[in-house]
Amino acid sequence: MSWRIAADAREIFVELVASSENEAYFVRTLNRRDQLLAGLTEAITLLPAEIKDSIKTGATPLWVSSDLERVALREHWGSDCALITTEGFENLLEIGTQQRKNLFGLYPERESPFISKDFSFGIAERTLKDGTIEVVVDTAEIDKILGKLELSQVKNVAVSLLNSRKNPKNEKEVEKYLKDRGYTVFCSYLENGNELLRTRRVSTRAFMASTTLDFSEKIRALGFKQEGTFLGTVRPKFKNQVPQGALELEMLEDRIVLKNENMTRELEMSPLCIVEMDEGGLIHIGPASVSSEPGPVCMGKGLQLTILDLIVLKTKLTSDVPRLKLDGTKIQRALGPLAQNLRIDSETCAEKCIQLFIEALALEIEKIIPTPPPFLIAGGWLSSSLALSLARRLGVKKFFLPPHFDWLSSQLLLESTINENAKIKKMGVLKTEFMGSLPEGEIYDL
Amino acid sequence: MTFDSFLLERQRLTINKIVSACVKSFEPDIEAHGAVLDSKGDLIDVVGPNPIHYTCIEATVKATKLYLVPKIGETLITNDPYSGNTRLCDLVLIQGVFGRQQANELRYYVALQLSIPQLLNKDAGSLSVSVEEEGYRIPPTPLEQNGAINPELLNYLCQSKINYDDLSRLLEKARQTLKTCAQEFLALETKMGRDTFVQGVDQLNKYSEKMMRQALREIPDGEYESSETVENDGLGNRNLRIQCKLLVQGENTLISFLGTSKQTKGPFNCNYTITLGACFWLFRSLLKREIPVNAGAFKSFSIEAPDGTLVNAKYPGALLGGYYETSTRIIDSLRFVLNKALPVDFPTQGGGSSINIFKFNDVIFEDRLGTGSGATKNYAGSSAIFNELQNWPALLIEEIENRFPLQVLHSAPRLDSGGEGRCLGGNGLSRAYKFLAEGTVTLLTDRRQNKPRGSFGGGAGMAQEVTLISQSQGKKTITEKAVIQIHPGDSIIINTAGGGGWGKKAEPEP
Repeated sequence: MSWRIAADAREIFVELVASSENEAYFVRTLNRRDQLLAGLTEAITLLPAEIKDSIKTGATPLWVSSDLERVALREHWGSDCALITTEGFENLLEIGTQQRKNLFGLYPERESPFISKDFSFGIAERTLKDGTIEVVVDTAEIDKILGKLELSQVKNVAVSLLNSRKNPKNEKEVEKYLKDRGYTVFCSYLENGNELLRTRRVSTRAFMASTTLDFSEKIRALGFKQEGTFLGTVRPKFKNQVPQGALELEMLEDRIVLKNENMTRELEMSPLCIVEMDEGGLIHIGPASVSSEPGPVCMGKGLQLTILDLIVLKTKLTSDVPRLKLDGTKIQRALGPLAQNLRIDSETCAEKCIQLFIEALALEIEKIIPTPPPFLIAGGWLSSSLALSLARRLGVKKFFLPPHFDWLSSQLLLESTINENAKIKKMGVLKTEFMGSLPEGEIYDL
Repeated sequence: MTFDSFLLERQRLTINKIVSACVKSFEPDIEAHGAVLDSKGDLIDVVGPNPIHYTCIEATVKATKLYLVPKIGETLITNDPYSGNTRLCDLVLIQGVFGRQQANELRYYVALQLSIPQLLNKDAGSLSVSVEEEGYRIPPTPLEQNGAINPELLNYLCQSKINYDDLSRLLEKARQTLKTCAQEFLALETKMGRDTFVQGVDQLNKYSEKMMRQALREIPDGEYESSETVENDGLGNRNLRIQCKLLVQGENTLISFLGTSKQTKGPFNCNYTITLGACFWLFRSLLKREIPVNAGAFKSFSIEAPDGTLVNAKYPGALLGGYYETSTRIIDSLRFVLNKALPVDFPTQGGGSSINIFKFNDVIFEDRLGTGSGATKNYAGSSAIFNELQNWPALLIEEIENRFPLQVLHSAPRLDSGGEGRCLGGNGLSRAYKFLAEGTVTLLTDRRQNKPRGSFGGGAGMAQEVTLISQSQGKKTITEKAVIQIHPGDSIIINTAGGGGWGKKAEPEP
């Protein structure tokens, strides 16, 4: 029997679907944020011997989507890389639009680019705004740069020349010259947008290249002959067409991603938003959030209460899934003083904070989509805790709470010849055990 | 605590969303500010990229209501800096928000301010000596005539060579946006109940005032004094003094500009609200969290700005350079004052601003360049960054080249321009343009002789420099305030100032 596997490797969970014509296995395992394939390896061990043997022979294809890019950028998992650009504009990534991070603030700050100034090189070439090549590329200049790259053992190079979208001739020449000498090259003429967006994109890809390669090699080491890897989020495909204008939200522990028509945007509000009361007596839910280190209170190290902590408390995640090692006592300890200040009990305080978070989330969504969407699809493991209230607040008429598995499996099933009446078995940490009271896979009329 | 914290925060978020939506409904290349105000003209909330506009919108609405009260469905318009506004290229549109039950009761105002640099296109051939030369001034006046935008008004503004249809469409959009904003605001009031809503607005005012006062209480009681100079006004008047004294006593904070130079002939004067806005920005920056910007926030401190001075100019004083440059000198003087009062974690002076107005065949390009920021005890300054006030994204190179007859030759941090010290000042920006058409460049810059000062032994940042490389006259340095005629093939290099350094530079090991 031939098997196909799709896996979604996120920071908290890995979801895996193995399917043949007549059978499908759905597995969810806990993951490790520092080793995104740990949960995948565990999920494979739970599969029947027949599938494991099939994987070992290399006959089973795998599709993987993962948080790799996100986590790698956040944790700076990358390698030294270089940027070649038009001379005089080497600092584009640093200067950007000259804006500071905060409108108010005594220290005008900006984020550091992934490519340091020492590895940003300018070459004396120029393409004009109408695509005319004013100055052609002199390969002797590139040779000098290569000398420096060789000394530093840099092999990944981003190339972003001014006006290359108008005429990529110079950029293609640099690309070919570098590729012929064994470098991995990422070119901006293939990207859309202004020169800053293009340069950021190719620099990120160059920075991530070795991490991506390492990830792929580890997948191969598991026995897969890789067929498709998605580094970002897989856009769910449904057997039936997604209704026109539907709002899709992916609600994960550290972010909420909004998709509508052709737009994808990560919202400023996330479950990691800090919950606190200020000296003026006003409660705040975000927009400040905790970083992955020390993280929220429930993870053990954090001291600042977050919405995630309150959701964890409300859904009793701490006791139901002991393997997550979430610390309910610490959450209670952090919540206590806040509730006391507000003169309400902890449970009411947690509930009110979550409701305020939903209101803030709704307002942020309404800034992007001013009219209520006709249909809401709320995915991600926090969706069953938040989606119903949010759907009501947004005034949507219908909403669908897909089991996260379906988002992934539908991707696979579209490519597969699986029989609709196939035997389906779910294994591992199942969502219904703890993730809220709403049954999944249903369409709700509101 | 006497209010429901959850309810109040919900109200704050919702009001902010309504105003944000109003601003965001414009194309990303339109700099817009939006505000809601109560019937007295007191600010309830404001959104936009430049805090100096916040105080100006409130002042403009207050000045307008002295002359005119909007009728239902009517929009008022003004761009008059002597009615509280910022510049003549910033159009302020105001509508009233009327109650449903008592239809004639004006309860709130909604206001939009749209920045249209093209409206500066009047006398770009010389430095202005009067506000009337800086653009086409409209005192507060109804926008509509017989229900449609008054064509005479459009024609008047279109003398700046702005396209009539484009301006008409933009103003029509602004009218509709304000109408939506007013409806949403009223709907919120209805939903919450009028009394609860009004109490909430009052609480938010008190909250912002309290938070601001709390931040200002960090400044020890005392008197702190400093002075700064605007080097000249481009018309021969030099070393224009901004004398700044901060007096702190308990809850009371006063900034006194007594001793500041009289208003000047050239365009480097500030109206009172710009001075207020500049001071507000710095004080608000002492706060580490978001607060609603409302009338309460402005009440937390007082300003003494004598009439007819550089910081409170009277009609017909020219103001454009005051908006760009004198405002940052006001911040510099106050920054230096606070540096004495809060020596531990307060950054020293940055490079100010650098504004250059390019004019080609009636097309205006207002180029704002970042400078170096001042270092602090623990941090080096940032390079080529907007240090204070405006935070509107600068145009990127490809866009500049696409929209204007310019080729950018380089754009990079100006090496070693930050002041020396234990922590280095940030570098300024060096940018060079080659001109592809005839035109003029108006420089409204400063920081040529008076370099951004370092603190505690730190060195000063490098002064600003502008060099013209002309095909006919060769290379020459351009003064800080000038209008230069340029020809195709000429180029100009603008090196903006670096930030001051902090602390003495460590001696090298023997």
